[in-house]
Amino acid sequence: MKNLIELQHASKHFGGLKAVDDVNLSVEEGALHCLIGPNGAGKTTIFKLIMGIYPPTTGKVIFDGRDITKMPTYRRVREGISIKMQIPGVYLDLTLYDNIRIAVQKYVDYKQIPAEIDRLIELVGIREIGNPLVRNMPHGQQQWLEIAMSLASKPKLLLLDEPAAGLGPEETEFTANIVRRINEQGTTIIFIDHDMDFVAQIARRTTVLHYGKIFAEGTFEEVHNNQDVVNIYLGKV
Amino acid sequence: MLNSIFNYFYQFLDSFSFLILAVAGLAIIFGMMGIINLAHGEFIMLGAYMFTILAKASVPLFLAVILGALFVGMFGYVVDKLVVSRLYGRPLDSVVATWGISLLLRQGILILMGPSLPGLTTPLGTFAVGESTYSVYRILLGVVAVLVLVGLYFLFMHTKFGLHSRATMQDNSVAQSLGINARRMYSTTFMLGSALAGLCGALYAPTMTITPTMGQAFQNDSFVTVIVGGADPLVGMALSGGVLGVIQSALSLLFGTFFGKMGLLVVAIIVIRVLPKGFSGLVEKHMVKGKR
Amino acid sequence: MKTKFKDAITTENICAVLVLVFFIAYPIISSAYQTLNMANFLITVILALSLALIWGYTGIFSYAQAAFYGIGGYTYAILCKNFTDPALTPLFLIGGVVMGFLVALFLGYFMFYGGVNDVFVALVTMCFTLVLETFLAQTAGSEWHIGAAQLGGFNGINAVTPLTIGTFPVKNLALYILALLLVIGIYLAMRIMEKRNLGYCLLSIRENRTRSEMFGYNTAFVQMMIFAVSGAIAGLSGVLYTSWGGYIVPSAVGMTQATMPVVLVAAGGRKNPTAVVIFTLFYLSLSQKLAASGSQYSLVLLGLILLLVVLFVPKGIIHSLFEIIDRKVVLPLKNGKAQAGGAAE
Repeated sequence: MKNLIELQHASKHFGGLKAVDDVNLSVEEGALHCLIGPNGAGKTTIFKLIMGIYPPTTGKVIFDGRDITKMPTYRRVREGISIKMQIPGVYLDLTLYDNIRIAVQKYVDYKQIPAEIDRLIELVGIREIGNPLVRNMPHGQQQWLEIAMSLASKPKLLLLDEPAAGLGPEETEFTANIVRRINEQGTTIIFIDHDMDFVAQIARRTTVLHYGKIFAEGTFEEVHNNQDVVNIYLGKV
Repeated sequence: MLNSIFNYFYQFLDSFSFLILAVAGLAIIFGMMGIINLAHGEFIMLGAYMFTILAKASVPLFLAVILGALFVGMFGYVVDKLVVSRLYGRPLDSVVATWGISLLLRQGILILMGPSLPGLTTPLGTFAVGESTYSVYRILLGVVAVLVLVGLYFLFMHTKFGLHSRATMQDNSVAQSLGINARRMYSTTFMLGSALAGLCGALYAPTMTITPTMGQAFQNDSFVTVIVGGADPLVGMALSGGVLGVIQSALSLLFGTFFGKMGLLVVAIIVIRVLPKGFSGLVEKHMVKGKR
Repeated sequence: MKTKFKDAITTENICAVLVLVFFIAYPIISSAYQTLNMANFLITVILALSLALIWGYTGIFSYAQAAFYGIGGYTYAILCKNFTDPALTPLFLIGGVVMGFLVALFLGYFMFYGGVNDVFVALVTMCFTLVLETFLAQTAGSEWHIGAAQLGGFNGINAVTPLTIGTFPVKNLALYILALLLVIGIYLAMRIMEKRNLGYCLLSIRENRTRSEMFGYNTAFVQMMIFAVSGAIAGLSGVLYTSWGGYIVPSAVGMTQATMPVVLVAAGGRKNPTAVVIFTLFYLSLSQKLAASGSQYSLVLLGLILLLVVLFVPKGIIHSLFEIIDRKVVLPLKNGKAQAGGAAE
């Protein structure tokens, strides 16, 4: 299986702070890969590097065999990378349909927009929500809406930043099903989360970050049973 | 030769002090709250009017300046309580609202006090270097500008208020969770910024005609200085005033005052393109790097 | 089909139709002088709509509309002075519009590709307008000319040929009709665009620019282009004004002139072009009456309106009225009809 996305010797420094420190990360096509680590370990920063929100201080980002380090964000999205943000990145003052419409309209013909909106609602399973103003939707529903929107570009790679954050057990399971479904349809997924039950349900490969560096890597079981990993979460390292 | 150097230095000091005194109030408010006070020029105008009225009533000039500044500070407090405080977090709306205030002030003063006020002559006389004469007062203004910078430095770096200000500027929510009352910070800052505007007006009053629209001349330049300086009211502002002062004085000497003013704008547009956060952004990068 | 028509019955649309009827009837019921006066109001409506397009739809707050207005006007005047054949004036109109577009494109490129954010756009555009005005006011000497056109400093350029089609000068009623057609055209273009992809694209930029980048929108490019288009529309307004009055002066680019569209759009309802048109009409008529009795107070009124609207009716007075009437009157009526109509839907 070839690598869909690679970070090669990627670093991101903010003044004196090394948020990401010489990271070499590869994710295979079709993977369901998880990034975990204590707060401030650099996980969201890595996502931002992949999205091109800012350039790496050093190193490269390779996507589908192409060096995209200098590519602006909007081009990366059109190349096939998509993201669901940590704090829901939805248009709060618009309706659910308008939100999806905005995400969708660049990727289908004008006449097919209503059908496409429908398809995404179906895919994520949010039909019961109807069409409220997004501001009035509870947090969980906003998360699912954003996932639907992030799928509009039919991405090869989907980044999910804390998809289970703030969700109860039923909602978490619902989300896990969505993520699995999307992955089965061929989308490579990298996600960040702190909810270990959620991660356990779906992650196949896991990378642990600590102080901006890769601390451990392997299947979820390997990482989960690694005493050193437990220690960094408990603050012993 | 020495004469031309002094001539140039004088021009530079003139530009520099004008920019610093004009921008100080605006920069502090912008740095703290992200609000551009479009009535800034009118606050300066109010300071000039207050000073002139007091000076004509035989109040000693030095006192008239202080009182002018204080008056505008108080006025700023009222404006904040009535208007600005409702617009925290809505920077574009505050731009429109303060523009409304600016209109009200300009027209209000025009209606109340007529199209102009008989002013004072520049005090302290002149001195000569070589064949040219220079105004002592303008040298004094240069000194005051430097004192204002130094004073602000001490205020922000060595007082509790300053510490709280910088914390609120950096990260509002964190500062609040540490017990800093952000609203009070904002109000006090707005008052301070207004007082500085009043100070500028009072100081420059003897050198200008006192009209309701006199604030505009200050406003244009201070906006450019804020653009170039960025959000840091200390270093950004000082650097900006310095650089723009050099450019403006050089262009004025070579091509005339008009080109001096045009030069400011061109620089502002270039700086924005190259340094979107102004000089403050540059400083941030270097200062934090330096510490490591 | 039936539901679409029913959806189209909103306070806004009803008012738009009423206003259209008013404009069509106006020359019939008014004197020639009043009609010419109203033509001037329509020209200001065009300027206001140009700001509504970028501020209301896209979230770009610009003080430079007056600058592009002036650039359009001056371009037209300069061309008229250099090429005196009146039959060429339609070309000069296009010239003014194109100049407005190009200068705005240039400024837009500098700002949006430089990552200049919202408040700074306001500052930069303000500076731009100020310097343009200062520059134009300084051009009194005879050395300031472009070809045969003296820029004229404070006095500007006078005795400008009015727009002429063939041998027919577009004045009075003809100018009114032209201005009205342009307003209708721009208004309709904006309303139609709202529901199409471009409208949603602008909306996404207004609501959350950085997030829209991550949905694949090239936001810098879109902002630059829409800014250029609004510059073209503002330039059009400037050309028409210059043709209407026969002159253009630096104060047309001044801060007072720059305030006007901001007030009109902010107080009317920047996201709603119908509200902007209605409020502009209302405000210009009112301030003209006030000016007749003592112009000092009209500016006070302006300032007060701005202040009160931003504080208490930030959506805009007319826009808020539309929503209130919709909620309290139109919607209940529509629902009442549906219940009475039974299963027809």
